[in-house]
Amino acid sequence: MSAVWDVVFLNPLINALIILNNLLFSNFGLAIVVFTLLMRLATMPLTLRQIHSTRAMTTLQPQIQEVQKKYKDPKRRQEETMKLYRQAGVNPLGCVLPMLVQMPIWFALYAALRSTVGGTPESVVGLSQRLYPWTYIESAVPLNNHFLWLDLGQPDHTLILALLVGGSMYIQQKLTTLPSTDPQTQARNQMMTWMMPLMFALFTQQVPSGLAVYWAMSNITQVIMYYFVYGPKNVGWRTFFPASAPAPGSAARRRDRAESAPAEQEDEEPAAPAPAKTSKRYRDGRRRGKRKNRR
Amino acid sequence: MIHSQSNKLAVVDIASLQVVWEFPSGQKHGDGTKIQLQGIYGNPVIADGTVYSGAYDGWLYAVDLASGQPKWQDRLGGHIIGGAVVAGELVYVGSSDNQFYALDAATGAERWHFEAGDDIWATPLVEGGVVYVAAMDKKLHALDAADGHQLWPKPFAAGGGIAGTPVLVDGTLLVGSFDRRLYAVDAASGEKKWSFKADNWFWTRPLVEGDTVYAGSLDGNVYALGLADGKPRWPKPFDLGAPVRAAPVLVGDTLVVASRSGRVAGLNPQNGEPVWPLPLEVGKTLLADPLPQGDVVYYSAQGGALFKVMPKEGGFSQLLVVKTPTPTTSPPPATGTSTPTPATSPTPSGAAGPSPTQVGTP
Repeated sequence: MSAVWDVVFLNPLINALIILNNLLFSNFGLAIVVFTLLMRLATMPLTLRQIHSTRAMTTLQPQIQEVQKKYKDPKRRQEETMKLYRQAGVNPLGCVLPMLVQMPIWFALYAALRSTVGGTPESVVGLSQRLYPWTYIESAVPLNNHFLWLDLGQPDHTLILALLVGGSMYIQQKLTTLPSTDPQTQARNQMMTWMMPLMFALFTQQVPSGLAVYWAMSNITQVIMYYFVYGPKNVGWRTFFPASAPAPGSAARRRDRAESAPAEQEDEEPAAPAPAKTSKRYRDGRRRGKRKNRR
Repeated sequence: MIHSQSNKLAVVDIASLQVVWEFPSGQKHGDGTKIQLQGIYGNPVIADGTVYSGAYDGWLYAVDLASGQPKWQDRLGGHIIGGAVVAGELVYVGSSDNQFYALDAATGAERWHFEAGDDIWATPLVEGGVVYVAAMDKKLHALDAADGHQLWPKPFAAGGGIAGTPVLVDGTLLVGSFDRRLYAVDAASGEKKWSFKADNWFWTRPLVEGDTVYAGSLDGNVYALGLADGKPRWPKPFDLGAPVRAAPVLVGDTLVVASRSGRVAGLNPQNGEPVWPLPLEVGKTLLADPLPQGDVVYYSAQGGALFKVMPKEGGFSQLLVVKTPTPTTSPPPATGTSTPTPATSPTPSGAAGPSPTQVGTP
């Protein structure tokens, strides 16, 4: 199994990465950036499908909860839930399958980077077992590990890369995680939105900076992709602050709309939640305007 | 014996297996930052009571053999992968900043430097007033040891980077390259005599015995070639099953070879047939050149474990190197009753470890 993995995924990626390095003036940092970009573009259809499905599923959550409350029999509950999915044109596997398909690619890319950015003699011995016997590729070793202020084989001891990784991941998380009507889920989502970037920022201080460049680039690419797909309406600055989280009231309003026209939900997905509207509310759902009216 | 463990240089008394001193042990650079070697790849060298060792942190250290205190330290421009060589009053070392340095052995002051086209990972060879410098720019340079000027009309050019240390025998230089070839080069002119191609890179320091060259390749094979013509001497190369980086050594009538996976084999140098019933499996990564001493061979494994291989018996033992107890930290253990603390862990990140160096053998 390991040999198949190496031959099918890992070794081709490593060799492609080195070819790119040679094409990009022997700048391995630039090769990582461009390679991540190309891989993101190649897997874009799958990523978009995953984002669409996740958003659609999240938007359906109020109705699913309604079904769960309404029907006690598990079989009936499942039937009704599936009916809901069908009506909304949502495939529940839609957010999992694209992710599963992409996972080997990202694992292989991660492993390829780990194999190449080391720069130490023992990592080069390991690399020798993975390179195709082409002079064009073999002559690139050892790779030039200097990129901007970084030694790609060593952790970045400044905070710059950690902030870049953590910041870009926070923005990405904020964009792709839609608010939930369930307070527990909402709290969990909010915690994850902070925890994951924080963890990766800490990892950045430990792992070779080449890997961190890949993380940062991967996050940034996904944010840009999201921006172009869903437009500036959903990617306003207010989206990134906790106060902009939609209040239960707004979710309930969407739920009402969904119940009246479930089949139209998917068309509305890109626009929901509307940060501009929700930002006019307090976190408990009260409208800010009301206070003014009371005066 | 000089040994590398836990990212430190250590002088080990081979009889008692106790660490006499370790470096660094709290010492600092001139700017007040703590010395952290980050790994030692090249062989340390001893001359006139001083241990010279480059480290991955980019510094070359001259440490007093008796006390373990630094005499001087020089920050070179990049990681130091290869070992240093002392000849006369100078210490020579290459660096990953493409520069080759000749420094005053007593003070560390730079006498001259030479710029190659890429990183220098190989330990240089100094013979007869000539320094042979192999570099990742795919070239082997012959420089005047006194002032660093080039002696060949043009450097010898291989097809790939050169990380292995050259060997000079009877006017012929032998050096392996990342283009999968082992080259024999005329030491006077820098012209190629012959080359032999394997299935992967040559990174070992070849061993020449009589008219035969023994060299391991990262393709997992050990080859025996004619010194004059580069033709294979054995019916087939010996397959160790994993990359061979550690240099082969001859102990008595046995050629001892080791692979990265920790497999050590004893071979008949005449025909390449194994002389032990089974190869030894030490269970650790072996990349560093071994140290033959008398009828045994010492291997320093990645992570700092030290092995003694006995070719006559076809056996090995892992040596438990213990730190010398210090009164400030613990009372001296009673001999034979204490449990010594292994000084071979934790594994330093990225340290392949140099070969052990015998004290008194520069």
